[in-house]
Amino acid sequence: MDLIGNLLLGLSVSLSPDNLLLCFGGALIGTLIGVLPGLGPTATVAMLLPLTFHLPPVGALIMLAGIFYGSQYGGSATAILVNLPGESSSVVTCLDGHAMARQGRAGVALATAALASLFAGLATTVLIAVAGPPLAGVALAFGPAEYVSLMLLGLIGAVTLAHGSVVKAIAMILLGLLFSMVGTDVNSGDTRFTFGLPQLYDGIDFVPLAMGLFGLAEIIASLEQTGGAGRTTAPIASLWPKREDIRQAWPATVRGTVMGALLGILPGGGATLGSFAAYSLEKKVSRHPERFGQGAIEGVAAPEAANNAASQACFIPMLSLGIPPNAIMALMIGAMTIHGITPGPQIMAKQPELFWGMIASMLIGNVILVILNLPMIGLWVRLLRVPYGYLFPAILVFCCIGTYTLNNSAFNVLLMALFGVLGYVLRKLDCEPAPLMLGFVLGPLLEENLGRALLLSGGDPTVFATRPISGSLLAVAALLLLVMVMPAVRRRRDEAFKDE
Amino acid sequence: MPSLPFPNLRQSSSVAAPSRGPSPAPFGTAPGAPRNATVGERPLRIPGRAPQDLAAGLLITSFGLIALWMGRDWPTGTLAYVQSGFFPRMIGILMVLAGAMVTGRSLLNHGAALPSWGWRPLLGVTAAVLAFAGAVETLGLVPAVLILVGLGNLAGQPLRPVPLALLGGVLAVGCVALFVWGLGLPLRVWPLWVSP
Repeated sequence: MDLIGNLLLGLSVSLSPDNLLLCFGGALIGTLIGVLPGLGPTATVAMLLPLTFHLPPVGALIMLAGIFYGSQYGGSATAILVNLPGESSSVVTCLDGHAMARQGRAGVALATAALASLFAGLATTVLIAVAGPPLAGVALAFGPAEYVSLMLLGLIGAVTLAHGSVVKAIAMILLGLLFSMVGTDVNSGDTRFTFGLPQLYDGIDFVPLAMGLFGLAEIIASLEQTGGAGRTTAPIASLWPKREDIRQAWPATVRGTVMGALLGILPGGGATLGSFAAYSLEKKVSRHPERFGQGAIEGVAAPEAANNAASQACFIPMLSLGIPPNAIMALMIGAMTIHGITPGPQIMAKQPELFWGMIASMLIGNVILVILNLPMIGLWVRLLRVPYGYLFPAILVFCCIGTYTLNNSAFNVLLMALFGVLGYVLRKLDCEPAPLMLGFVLGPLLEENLGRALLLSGGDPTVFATRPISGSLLAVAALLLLVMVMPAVRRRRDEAFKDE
Repeated sequence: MPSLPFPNLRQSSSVAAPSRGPSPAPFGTAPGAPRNATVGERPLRIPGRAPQDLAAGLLITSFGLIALWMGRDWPTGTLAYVQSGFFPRMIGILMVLAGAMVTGRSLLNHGAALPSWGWRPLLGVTAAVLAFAGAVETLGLVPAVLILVGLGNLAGQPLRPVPLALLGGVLAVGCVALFVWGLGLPLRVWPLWVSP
């Protein structure tokens, strides 16, 4: 089938009234929660997962994707209005976005962010539609050894391109793998790490883990910082960018989109790296680099475009290979598994309406987001002023009931509380929970394929290096690790992720 | 800054992690909590020279050791036919190695001090969620939500009684409306003795 035909199939799925409503609802609720300070996209998606349990699979994924980019946009609004990044990917937006807001140009900054994101979203969605199928075709030829190497590459990529200590991030992946082993081993029927608790025989559920590590831990951290007070926000005057603004912003938007899409496809790349790289690129090509940090509109347009392009490009490895490149995609894979869908190259062939419906819904979702956000920005501002003391009990209630109703199991709520504490402790020790999530999702797949590859090779561990595709994937992974150890690269990476 | 007894070999990369926005005066920090030193103050010298990394390293190592100890009798099989104990042992060993590296580095390099802990939000939120877990099946949804809101309220700046009661009431009614009437989930709404 050709690209146009596929996209038309997708549009016919995603334009059905039900799915359109879900896409709209997802974008709306995602923005609503994403606007709240301290709640980044990962936490938002984790918290809102339960909303989608009772939907048909296509609708659930469309809604989740809507929640995802809604929360991303909401995070940018918070960054611009209160100078508080919800997630590391909107850290750079704070610099010039909030500077613009202080000059009374908050409305222009918000509109620029929305329009740049829209452009990047549309461009990247087309890229997904073009690049996804060939990649999946390659993946269909993969054997277990190739899968193991691919997953290792994905995990190592996630570690090296993220910020913070590499060893700690690897340790977090290992911890995630460890958690994924809890329960009954599918091959032998032996139970592992269950502490004799029958509730753990089926393993740790994905929802309490994600909600605890991201949702509860975020709430605790936000409470620690604000104590429950509201925020003062910058006032908004005019919304529309002037001709001069547009002239300055559009080349930056295009450059940001290209940068973000390229970095987003890389395993572990994702939105943070994209936005940082786009910002430094703008600063380099600008004839007036001194304007950056003082409210330069390019400093809002480029990182916002890159951030959105990268987060959407992440769907490419997730949908076509079944390998999540970051924590949010791991959440999406978890959601698919709950609906009985195994992500991977076979989705495209077996469930084309799911794959293309989701892609087409991204096109629609990005448009909805702009239509939704420009007129409703005043509402988000008011929401930011609501004291957190009123908001967080509501979020807590939602997390608890969501986790409980997954299996009607109070044990899951208990687990969530434990993971909340763990998430908070890890955060305090500067260990990121995102790699843990990746390890947890990939764990069963990794173990199964590792065992199978060894079985097929008769116990020869060199099989991973000698098979050509597997060997080259491993070589790339080794190269990445090696590059990371080089002191010059290390220093530059640390600088790139440093707060201004 | 007084000269430190050892040269600063290499800055720990953990210092470079973006801070989570401006954090004025951490709220709910227990007064006099031990080892309270925020980043930016002079780092604590004891224990080690990168207390945050030291704690992280020890935590990682202990997770690895627990995994190895729990899986000590599990069959690992052979490489050609791996059994259920193989993967846990492999991951356990790798975790111990990673933990040892982080710990070792924390003793050699200077790094971030242990940040202060927000005991109040941590304990408040955790207690509220645990209480919900205990109450939802025995007492029902409405009391569980009220308990959750009431206890959770203590995690931040407590609300005054009237707004608190309003918030609890609205949330309880909203939950029943959304989850029981709307989505039709089989949840117990009231305690057994009120409506069986």
